[in-house]
Amino acid sequence: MSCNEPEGHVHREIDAPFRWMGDAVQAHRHGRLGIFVRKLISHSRLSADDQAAIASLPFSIKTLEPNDHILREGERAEICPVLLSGFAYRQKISADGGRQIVALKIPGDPLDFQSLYLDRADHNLQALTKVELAIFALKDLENLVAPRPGLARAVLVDILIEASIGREWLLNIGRRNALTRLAHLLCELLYRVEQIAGETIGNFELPLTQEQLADLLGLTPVHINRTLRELEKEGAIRRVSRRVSIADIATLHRIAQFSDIYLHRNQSSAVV
Amino acid sequence: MPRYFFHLFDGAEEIDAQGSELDDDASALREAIRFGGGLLSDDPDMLVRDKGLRINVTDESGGLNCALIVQIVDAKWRPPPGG
Repeated sequence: MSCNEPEGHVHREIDAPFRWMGDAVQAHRHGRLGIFVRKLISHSRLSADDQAAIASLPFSIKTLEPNDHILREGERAEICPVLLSGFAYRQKISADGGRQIVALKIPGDPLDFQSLYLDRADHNLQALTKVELAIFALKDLENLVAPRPGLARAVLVDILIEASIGREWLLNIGRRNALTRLAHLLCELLYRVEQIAGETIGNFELPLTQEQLADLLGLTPVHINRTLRELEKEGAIRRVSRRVSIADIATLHRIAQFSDIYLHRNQSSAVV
Repeated sequence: MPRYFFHLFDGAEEIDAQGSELDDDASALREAIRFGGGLLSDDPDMLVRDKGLRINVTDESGGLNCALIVQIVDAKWRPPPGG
C-alpha cells in the first residue's frame, strides 16, 4: 500500500496482470481513438474541433504478436500507427548482431510521427507484447496536420518528449549503476502508464523479459537477474517465476533517485 | 537451452537460485566475464574492500562449470636509483 499518493488521487489495486486499454476501452466520445486523443491532450491543448478531426480520420485495426515488426529500418512508411493496447519498442542492431532497445511505447502512444517529416525509418519498430494498433494512412495525417497549427504543435511536443526520454535513457545507461539504472526504468514505465491510465496502478506487471531488460539497459541478463534479486530484497519488486511486478513504487523511486522533470508531465501548452 | 547459475562472492556469498538460459559453456563463461566487468564498473571499490571478486558458475547438475576470480595484487615497485 503506497502512502505517498497525492491527496484525492484515485487508487485501485489491480490483482490480475496488467492488461490494459483495448480490453477495457472506456466509453469515450472518440471511441477506439479515445486513448490516442487523451495522450495528445495530456501534453498539448487541442481545441474540440482538432480533437474531433483526429477522431474522425479513417483507420483500420491491426493486431500483432510479440516481436512482430510494425516498421523496419530503412523502410519508407506509408501508414501512421497508434498503439491502442499492449506495448511496443524501438530497436537498433549493430553489425555484429548486438541488440539495443532504444525506446518503449505504451498504450495511447503514436508510434511514428517521425515519418511525417523524415523519409526513412532509422530503427525497427516492433510489438513487445500482443498489440492492437490503429492504422492511419500517413497521407491523411499529413493533410490533417498541415492547416491545423494546434495539431502540428501536439505532434511536435510528442516528438520532443520522446527525445527527452531518450536523453534520460542515455544518462541512465551511460552513468547509473545497475541497481539505480533498473529501478529508474521501472519507475519511468509505471509513471508513464499511470499518466495515460489516469490512476495509480498496484502490482503493475512488467511486460519485458530479462533478456529484453538486458537489451534495453546495456547489462548482461545475468546482471539483470542479480539486480532484480537485489530489488526484490529491498521490497521494491516481486518475482513470481518469470514475472516481475512492482511492489512498492516509493522504494523504487528512492533507489532510482528519480526526478520526473524529463517526463514533462503537467505540460501546459501555450496556444489553443 | 541449458541453464547456468552465477554465484557471487564479494565478501558475502550470493547464491543465484534462478539462473539464466545460455547456449553453451563458452557462452556461460563469456557472460560471467561480462557480469564481473559490469559489477566492477559499478563498484570498483569492491576489489579493495573485499580482497577480490569471485564468480562461480554451476550448471543444472549442480557441478561447478567455471570460475572467475578478479584480484588486485600488490605491485609497488620503484626503479633503482641511477637507472
